[in-house]
Amino acid sequence: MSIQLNEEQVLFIENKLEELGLNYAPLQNEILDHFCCLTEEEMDKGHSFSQATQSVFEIFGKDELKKLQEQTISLTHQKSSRMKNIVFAFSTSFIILGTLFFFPKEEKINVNKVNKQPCPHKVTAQPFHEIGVKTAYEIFDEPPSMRPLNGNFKMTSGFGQRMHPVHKRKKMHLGVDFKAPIGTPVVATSDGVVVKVKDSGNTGYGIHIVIQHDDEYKTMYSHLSEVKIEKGQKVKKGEVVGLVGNTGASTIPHLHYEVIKNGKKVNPKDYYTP
Amino acid sequence: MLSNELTKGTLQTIILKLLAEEQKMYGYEITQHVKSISEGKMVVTEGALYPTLHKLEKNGLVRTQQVMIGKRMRKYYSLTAKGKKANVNKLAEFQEFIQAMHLILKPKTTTS
Repeated sequence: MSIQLNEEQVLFIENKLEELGLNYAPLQNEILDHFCCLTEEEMDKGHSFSQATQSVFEIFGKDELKKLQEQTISLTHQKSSRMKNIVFAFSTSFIILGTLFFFPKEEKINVNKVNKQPCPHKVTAQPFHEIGVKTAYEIFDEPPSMRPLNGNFKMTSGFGQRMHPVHKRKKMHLGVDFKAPIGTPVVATSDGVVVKVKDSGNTGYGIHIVIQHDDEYKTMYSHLSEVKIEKGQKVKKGEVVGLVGNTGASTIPHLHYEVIKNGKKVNPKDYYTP
Repeated sequence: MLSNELTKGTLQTIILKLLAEEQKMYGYEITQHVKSISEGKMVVTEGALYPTLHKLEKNGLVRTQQVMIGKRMRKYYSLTAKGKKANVNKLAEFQEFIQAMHLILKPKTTTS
């Protein structure tokens, strides 16, 4: 009998990995899948979920995860940083040439051979849908490049140190806030895949969405009142992903928007024209 | 069990060969496959596998496809045309390496 983890169990492992420091977007989904598979393998041997996760994370901890992420980043970015210097030096014409030259042509993939050897569980009964053949590196240079709200909504809090309106102490504000009425459409700031849809209740980000754009960039949209997409869905730049709200640690209806580059939150203002 | 260091140097060759045969695999599946066909002698760790897979992708030797499996996303790897070529070259190179190792490790025959 093969066990398949339920949503709650997957979420538990996802949170555990986040706690251990998994924050590099191109690895998040597959490391989660890997650890779910390991856990299922343990449970197939007759262990309970908590015994299984305990033994899985005993072998693989914070240090191993950190090393794995660092190694992946260093192996995949050696060339690209050099590329970027060239791009800066030779301006736009070079970018166009570079894009034509470096984008590998897409080829047809054999979709028939899905799950030939599923990790211990059977997935035949599960609905699965393809979310795209484009790889993270094929969409290489598509950083977020617009405001997350259409219309001229005022930015009420910028990136950097500020007095937190709920916690009443000085805190780093790692995104930007736009004051807007509940129900204002929130749009994806570049093409990507929805990697997270979560509701943290009355604390933190409330209802929030994370979109992964390429190997470097993710964006986060929080305090939403409603979500218009699903986890795993592909979205286009400008597509409505949710509606402005007042959920989580929020005092007035607004959108808190973050841009995350290689796991580090950066100033979103650098990624749109004011 | 073989040491990590020996496995690491040959990991790209192993991954390319497996993908050439299986067409499409995900990370965990690769670790299980290697374990089973090497009869448990070789263990590919997560720490070695994923950085190598991402490097292969970055270099255009493999492409990926993400598929929703139950409540989570699974990333499948498959060879590109460039990857297929690299597989043939790497295998040939490795065969040569094995032959060379044979010659080096052969006990010295003394003629008296």
